[in-house]
Amino acid sequence: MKTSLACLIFLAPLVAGCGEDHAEIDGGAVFPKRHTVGMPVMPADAILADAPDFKNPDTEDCSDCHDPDFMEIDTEVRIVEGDHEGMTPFKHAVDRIWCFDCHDPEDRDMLRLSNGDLIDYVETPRLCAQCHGATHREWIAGVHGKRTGKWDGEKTYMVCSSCHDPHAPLFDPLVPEPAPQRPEVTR
Amino acid sequence: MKTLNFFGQWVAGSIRIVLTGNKLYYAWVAFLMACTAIGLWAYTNQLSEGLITTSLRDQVSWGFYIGNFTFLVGVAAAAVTLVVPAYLYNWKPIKEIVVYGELLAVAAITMCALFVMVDIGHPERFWHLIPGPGILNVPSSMLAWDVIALNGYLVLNFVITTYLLFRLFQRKEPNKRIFMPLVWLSIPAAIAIHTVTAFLYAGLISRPYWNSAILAPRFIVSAFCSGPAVMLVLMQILQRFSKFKIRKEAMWKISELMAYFMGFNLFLLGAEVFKEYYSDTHHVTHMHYMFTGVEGHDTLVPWMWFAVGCSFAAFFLFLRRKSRQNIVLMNIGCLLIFMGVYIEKSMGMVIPGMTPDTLGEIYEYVPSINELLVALGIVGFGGLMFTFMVKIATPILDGEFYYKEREAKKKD
Amino acid sequence: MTKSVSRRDFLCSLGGCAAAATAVGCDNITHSKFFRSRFKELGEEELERILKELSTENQERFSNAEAQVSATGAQPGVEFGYALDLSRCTGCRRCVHACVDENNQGREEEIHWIRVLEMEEKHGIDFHHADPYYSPETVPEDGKFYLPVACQQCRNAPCVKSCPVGATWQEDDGIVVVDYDWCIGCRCCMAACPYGARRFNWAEPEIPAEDLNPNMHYLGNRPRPKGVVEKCTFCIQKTRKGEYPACVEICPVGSRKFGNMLDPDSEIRYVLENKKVFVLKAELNTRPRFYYFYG
Repeated sequence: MKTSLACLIFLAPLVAGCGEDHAEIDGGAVFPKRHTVGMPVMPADAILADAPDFKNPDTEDCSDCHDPDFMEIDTEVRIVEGDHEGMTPFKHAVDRIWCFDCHDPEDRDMLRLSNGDLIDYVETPRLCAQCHGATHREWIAGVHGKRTGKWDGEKTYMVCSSCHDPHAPLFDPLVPEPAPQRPEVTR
Repeated sequence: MKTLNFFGQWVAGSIRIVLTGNKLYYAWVAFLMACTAIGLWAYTNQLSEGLITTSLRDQVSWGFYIGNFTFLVGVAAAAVTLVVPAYLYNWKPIKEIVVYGELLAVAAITMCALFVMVDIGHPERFWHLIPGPGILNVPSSMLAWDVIALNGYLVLNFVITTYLLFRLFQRKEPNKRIFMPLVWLSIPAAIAIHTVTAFLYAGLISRPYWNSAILAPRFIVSAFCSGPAVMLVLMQILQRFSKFKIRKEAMWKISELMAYFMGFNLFLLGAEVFKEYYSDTHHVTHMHYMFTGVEGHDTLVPWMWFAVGCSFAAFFLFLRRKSRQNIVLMNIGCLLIFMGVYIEKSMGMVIPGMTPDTLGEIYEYVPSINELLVALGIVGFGGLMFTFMVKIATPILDGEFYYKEREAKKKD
Repeated sequence: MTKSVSRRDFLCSLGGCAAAATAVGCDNITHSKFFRSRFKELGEEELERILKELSTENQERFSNAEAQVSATGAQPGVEFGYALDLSRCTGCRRCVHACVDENNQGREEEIHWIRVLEMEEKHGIDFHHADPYYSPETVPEDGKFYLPVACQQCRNAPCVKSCPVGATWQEDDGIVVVDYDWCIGCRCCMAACPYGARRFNWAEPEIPAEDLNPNMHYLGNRPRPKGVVEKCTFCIQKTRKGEYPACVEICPVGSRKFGNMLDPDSEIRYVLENKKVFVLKAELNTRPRFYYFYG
């Protein structure tokens, strides 16, 4: 009886077509919903995690050097060569983006969205979402990235730059923790 | 009151019989006691250190103990091969063997229980299995069913043999109204213990090598080979050392039955081999581990081929009338069957079922010394028990040990 | 021990623990353990007393005043689910060791509840080409992918079915638990588990005093004796209080997702509804609550 019920539930979406909530959480196989409508919403009490400093720790703010009063703003699209306070070599979609796609040329301590709005460094997700829309949606849903805290309450959301260095977003290889003992060893 | 008198003399007489014997008897008993003592010592090691003293690990979590348990369930069940023709067809030549067969069953089941006891991590919690203070998880757990079946079978055989011997001791024939239903019951009970033991394995979806519908038939058929093999050899030993006489025709008949069962046993093995190799699914890897080895892991391979060789050789020996009726060849055949079935059914059944493990890891299990010693102790204890029981039963069956009125009166 | 023979002592010797006692040492705690009922049958007061006893025992044993054993029950309306993104897992084994620290597994004996299998991309998920002992300088390696396996918390759990004494069962929130004081150590459940998720304490598990996680649960991470079976409990001591399991919190690539499957807004529900998830060995109809997907 149980089995036949489960079969019915499984088969229902195939027979009846789409439109309803198809999630079947009682079985081995789970049908994805055909159309996810709307954008997942981030709860108001979500805490955003701090992002580590990607630049040389001895350097203070970007504007310490990039002060428009001392250094001329060079808007020629290029890749910065040489050592740039720990942020080089640049490895983020190298042939498509460069510094001022994200940083504000005038105020180096702010990031700039494509519509011209300036945002703070902790708001990286808004900036990254401009290109990585699908990933951003999954981040809000909690699939991409990581959360800590409570599954049923207050959570800390790791932001994009908590894990990815914006200048080289691919993860570095990790040293694995020790392998388990082989059973032969304890014999 | 009179029964009590009978019983008192029976017990006193039995103790006297067990304590007296020739030098060979004392040497034999001393040997078995030494085995038991060594086993006990090894077991105290295991109790204090834990099952780490065995070679069992998470990858292969059942091994030598459970393998022996499985084989001995078969030996115990095989008493029925002798009961069936003896009682159902009232076929006289085998009837005399039945008592010994059932005594063997009692000893074998006791050893089974001990093999399970030494295998479990918390033997002192055995009372968790007793309904009332504990719970017995029936109907879902096959081990729970096995506990019921094995204990039931032990009690049944114990009652049958004790009752029969006690009546003969009083120089009375057993009351057929009580006796026959019990004997009848012992037949399905013997089939049941081995079936349930097979289901213990066959019910595990995680182990494709065991999860086979023909496992229970294979168990029963192989038991019908190994049980009588043990019995035939024991009968001859008994004949040598006591007045007990086994008629040759009884032995021929038993060996003929064994030939058919061995043929069927090999057929079932062949069916299993065909299914696995022809289908060639992932499940065949357990067969590979047995017969060819997997990625250089081939500890079991020579053993398995040896076992198959033994079984085939014994089959042909017993199939030919001339060779099965030759006492030397018959004994060789019994030995071959014993080795073939023992390897196939204990280690050859348990180990490949768990190698590779459910996540594909291969751990080559070989029993540890301590594990072997514990097993030795159990076999020693079982042997001791069987020796004593036979020592008491034989003079009763021979009509030498019976209730003496005068002796009882003298005491009064 | 006092000189007067208590009823418990008497019962104990009747019960046959005398022999075992000589081998393992018999004190009051042994007595209390020997006659402890199955967790499910404990009355409220009795449970309270045992929890106190266990807390004190562990406080003394590990010289840790914070050691507390609780028995927090399942929250109503909660059924836990877990999903693991195989496209992200790098096989770094951080989860394995975080689990050991959180759940007070034996250190010397190396009981690991999570087993990370290295698999070859060309073979796909194939346990016969899996290696749990990989140890390159860095992970991930080219041509390899990694499949962490722990208890799948099956709805139709073969282990629960096989236990002869009912020492393992499924809680209302879906966690399959073991009563370490009721388990007889027959290992039927280990033979029955298709995922190799159950671990046996072959020897007495040793935990250095300073490594004890003092936040403990009766059915979870309290120190186990030798000779009993243990397994992943979704960090019952954390998750019953609303926290994420240790493996979820440690995973450096965020491949592990956990939550209440009955909550339509939970991330686990999002995964189940929007990703093509699958379960291991689906053909066995164990119906795990542990899902895998490629994000």
